[in-house]
Amino acid sequence: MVLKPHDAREFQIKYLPLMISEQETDMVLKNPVLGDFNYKLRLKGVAPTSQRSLAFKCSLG
Amino acid sequence: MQAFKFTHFLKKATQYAVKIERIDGPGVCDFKAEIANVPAAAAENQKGIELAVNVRYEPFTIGDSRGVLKLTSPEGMEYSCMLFGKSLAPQPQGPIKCPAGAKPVGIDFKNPLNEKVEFIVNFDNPNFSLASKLPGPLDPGKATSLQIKYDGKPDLPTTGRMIVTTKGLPPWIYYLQGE
Repeated sequence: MVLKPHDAREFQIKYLPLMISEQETDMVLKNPVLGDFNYKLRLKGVAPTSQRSLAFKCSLG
Repeated sequence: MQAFKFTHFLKKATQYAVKIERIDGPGVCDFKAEIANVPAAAAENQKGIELAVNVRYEPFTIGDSRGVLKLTSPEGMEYSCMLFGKSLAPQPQGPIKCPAGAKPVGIDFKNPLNEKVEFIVNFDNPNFSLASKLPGPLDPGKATSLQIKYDGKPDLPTTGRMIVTTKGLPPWIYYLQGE
C-alpha cells in the first residue's frame, strides 16, 4: 500500500468466520521509516440471523 | 425427497455428521437423511464447495411434523435446517388396467405406519378380487403385492374400486379398469 504525502486511505478487512466464536488477532502496518502500527482486531462470529428450512407435503403411503 | 444444500468453506478436507431430530414431541422421526456422513474436500477459494444431503419425508400418520437437520464437523462447524412436513389423506390412484382372465395385476402396497397393523381389502364390484390372500398384519414400512384378478363377467361393470382400509385412517382407493 503506497500513500502520497499527507494522504489517507481506507482498506477493507474481510472476516469470514466458519464458527460461532470470538477471537483476537493482531494486524501490523509496517513502514521502514515510521515503524510499526499495531492494531488488535476483535473478531466475533455470531449465529446466522436467518434459519433455513425445507417444506415437504405428500399423501400418506 | 429434497436436497439440503450448503457450502463448505474450510480449506481442509473434513466430514460432516448428519443428524435429524424430531422437535414436535417424542416418538419416531418421520424425516430421514439418505447418508450418515457428508465428506467434504478442502475448499480451494472463498467461494467454497457446495455440498448436499438428501432428506426423505415418510410420514407415519396424517398431520404435520417438524424436525431439524444438523450437520456438524469435528472442527466445530455446524449447519442446520428446519424441516416441516405435511401429510395428507391417501389420494385415490388409477385407473389400473386389469386384463380379463390373464394373470393378476400386482399393486405394491406399503404399510406407512410405525406399528404392525392389519389391512382389509374390499372391492365394490365382484368382477374384481384378490388372487391370493393377504399375508396378515404388515410390519411397519413393509410392502406387499396385492394381486388383482379381473373375471370379465359380462353382466357386471368393467370398472370398480379396490378399497384398502385400516382402523383410524381414511381408505386407500385404487380405481380399476377391466379390459
